[in-house]
Amino acid sequence: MNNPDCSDKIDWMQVKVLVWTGLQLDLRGSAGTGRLHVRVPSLVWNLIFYGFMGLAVSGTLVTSTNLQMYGLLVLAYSMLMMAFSVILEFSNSLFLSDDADILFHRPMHSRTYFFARAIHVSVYILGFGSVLVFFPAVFLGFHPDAGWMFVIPFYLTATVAHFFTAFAMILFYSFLFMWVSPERLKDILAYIQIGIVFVMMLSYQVIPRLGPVQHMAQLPTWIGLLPPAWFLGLLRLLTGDVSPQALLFAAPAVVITGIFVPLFMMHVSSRYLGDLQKFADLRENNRKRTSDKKTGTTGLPDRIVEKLLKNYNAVTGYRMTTFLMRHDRSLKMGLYPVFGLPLALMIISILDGSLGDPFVQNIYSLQNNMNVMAVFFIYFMIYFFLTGLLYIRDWNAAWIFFTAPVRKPGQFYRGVKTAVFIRFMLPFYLILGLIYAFRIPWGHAFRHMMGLLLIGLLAFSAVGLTLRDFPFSRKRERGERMRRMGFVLFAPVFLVITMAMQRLAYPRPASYWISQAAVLMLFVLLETWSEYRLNRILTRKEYFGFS
Amino acid sequence: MNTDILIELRNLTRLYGDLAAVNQVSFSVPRGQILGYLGPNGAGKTTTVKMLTGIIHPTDGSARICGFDIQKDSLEVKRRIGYVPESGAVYQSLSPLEYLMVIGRLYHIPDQAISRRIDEFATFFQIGDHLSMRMTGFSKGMKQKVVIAAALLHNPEVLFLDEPLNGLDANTALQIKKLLRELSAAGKTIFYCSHILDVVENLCDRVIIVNKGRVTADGSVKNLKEMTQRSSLEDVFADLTLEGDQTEMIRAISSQLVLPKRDTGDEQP
Repeated sequence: MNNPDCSDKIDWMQVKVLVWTGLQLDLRGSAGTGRLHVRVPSLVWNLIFYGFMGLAVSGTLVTSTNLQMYGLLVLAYSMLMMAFSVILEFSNSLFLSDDADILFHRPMHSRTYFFARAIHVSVYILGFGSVLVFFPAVFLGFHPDAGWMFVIPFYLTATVAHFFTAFAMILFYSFLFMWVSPERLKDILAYIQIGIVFVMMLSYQVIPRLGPVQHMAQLPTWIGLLPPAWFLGLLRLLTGDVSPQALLFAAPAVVITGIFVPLFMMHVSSRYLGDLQKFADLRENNRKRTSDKKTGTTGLPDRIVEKLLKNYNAVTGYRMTTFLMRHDRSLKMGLYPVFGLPLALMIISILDGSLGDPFVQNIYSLQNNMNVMAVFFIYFMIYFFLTGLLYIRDWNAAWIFFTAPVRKPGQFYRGVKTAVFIRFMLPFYLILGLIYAFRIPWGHAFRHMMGLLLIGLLAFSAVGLTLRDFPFSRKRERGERMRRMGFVLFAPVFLVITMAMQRLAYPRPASYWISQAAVLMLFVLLETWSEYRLNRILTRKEYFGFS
Repeated sequence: MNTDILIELRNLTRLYGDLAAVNQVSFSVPRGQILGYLGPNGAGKTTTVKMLTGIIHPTDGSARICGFDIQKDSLEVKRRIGYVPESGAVYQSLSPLEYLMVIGRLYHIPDQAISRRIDEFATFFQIGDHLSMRMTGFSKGMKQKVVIAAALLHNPEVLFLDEPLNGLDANTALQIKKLLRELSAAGKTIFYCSHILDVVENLCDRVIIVNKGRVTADGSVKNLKEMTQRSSLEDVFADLTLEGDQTEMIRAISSQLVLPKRDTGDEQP
């Protein structure tokens, strides 16, 4: 690594090899424990997802009468998406997990490694960024106040903004490396992840609510404090608006992107590899006592659940899930943040006044969009959580499922789902019920919570129909989380069921209880089908985790 | 059905596309035998083991373990076998205690029995102090001990061991070898894959050498030595699996790698 024979210069031959290898690995993906067949690379899924997000953001132009506001929103959104992407894929983008074993003993200077990874990330920024702003740019081309002359400057500005965002995030992490212990850093990353998701979703709600701003031709000067406004300033300059405000807005973009970012990059690059090595060393030395209890590691409540589950395979699934969720940081941090968003949206909908009594009025309408979003994200959360249990760092330990005498491997999921239901879903819905109880009578709050819980269970079973692997058996790879986020199409189906139930069944007690019974029956049917399907698929499965 | 034959392969084949990783392999292993299964890298050893343990399915042929067909009665087979894979992969964020509890449950062993056996293995492998620690920071040898314990937890009749001594210290390796001999004497059949020929020579009753997916030799170490007129298993192995004369090639490579004498400046030009 920091071999005294190595010069401080970048070894471009090494950079070329590292970038090429990184991109090859991305394009190939990994086989995991599944069949060795050609799969659509994660990269393609990511591009589809970014295109879809760009299309959704373009819709802002339809509701926004102000072109500047549109530009600001699109830039803000795409910058947040870039930041989010860097966070989600951080460990994969800047530090490939095998690098410690493969590269750290080689004669390679830190700066070479840093630039190789930076170029690797840049390829992504260019690709994803272009797809992300494609539709917003096309919409701009058709806009009567903008036209096609705006498209190229807009594309250029957005690209600079994306690079700024990604490298600002990278620098931020690099500085964190210096001051924060690696273990703590992982926590911080997770919290930032939660924070960015919040900002991303809430800003979409908050900015349009600024009211007067939307209809102003000239933006207020305070908006210049926000990074997206800097790049909006740049866009205004490029399109011929050389007003004092445009100059003021653009100045930080030019100064920071052109001078400070390169300077800091040079500084960080020289110590980057050393800091990463420290990170890898400490990760390896994480010896933490889990429990001193002899038999188990399982407490009384868990023992009761295990007794109720009866089935050995289900108990194994339950035990594995509880143990791993207790100790595996990457698993925890990958999943827990999804709980925050629906709860936050629910609280905002209460503060907003959009949450009324669902037994008295229609709570799911365009006026109550926060409420609709909160419910949407509950189903999204369920999908994301359950599918997330497939992915784990030690995925290749899943060989045990293939050598164990298990007739009905789908039963593992009975235990996994029970663990998720008891430990996460039930507490979540209870908190939801308590939040409701602040606004509506207790009885109604309880019944509404129960209605949501039952449809949640239905969604839970439906997720089972998308699974094709043993739990904790798939490798985390670039784009895996983003790809799962692409399945947001799952959530609207259950949102529609929830809305229909509130509209049709809530008004009369008899219809409410009948509908609940129907959902419960559907859940049992779906669960049986799901388990039968998993038994069939998993029994035939082969393991390719090690050669 | 011969109850003394615990492993029986008949034309077992596994294709990956056009490539035959295992090509019509047939042999049988009686109860209590320690079979050394040798071959160069890519010869098909691990693929054979993976088929016999149910991890992958054969493309053609059949195999029986303890009288049960590996495809038709795969559950009965899996109940009777223990497996130590070469990778030694475990869920590292679990402690050995938690991991072994999960494994025990997979084999339907009651909790109390699992606890008792864990205690025994913890004493044997000297991992008692580490039972409740996450395996994240364990050395390869420590993890290997846990994997071996997991393979023995349900008292299997047949053991498939793929490089089981990987990463183990000399004392533990010695203990394991003694344990394997004891298990063999008690009637357990052991299928032992390894590249460490000294260990195979000392431990195994019989050796099968595979190359390019096919069996090229089968017999006791003594038989194989006599057959090839070589004095060590290492030479037998080289004879049967190496193509051409390597001596010249080794000379050519080493001559390029030997550094030229450094000029100390003491000698006059």
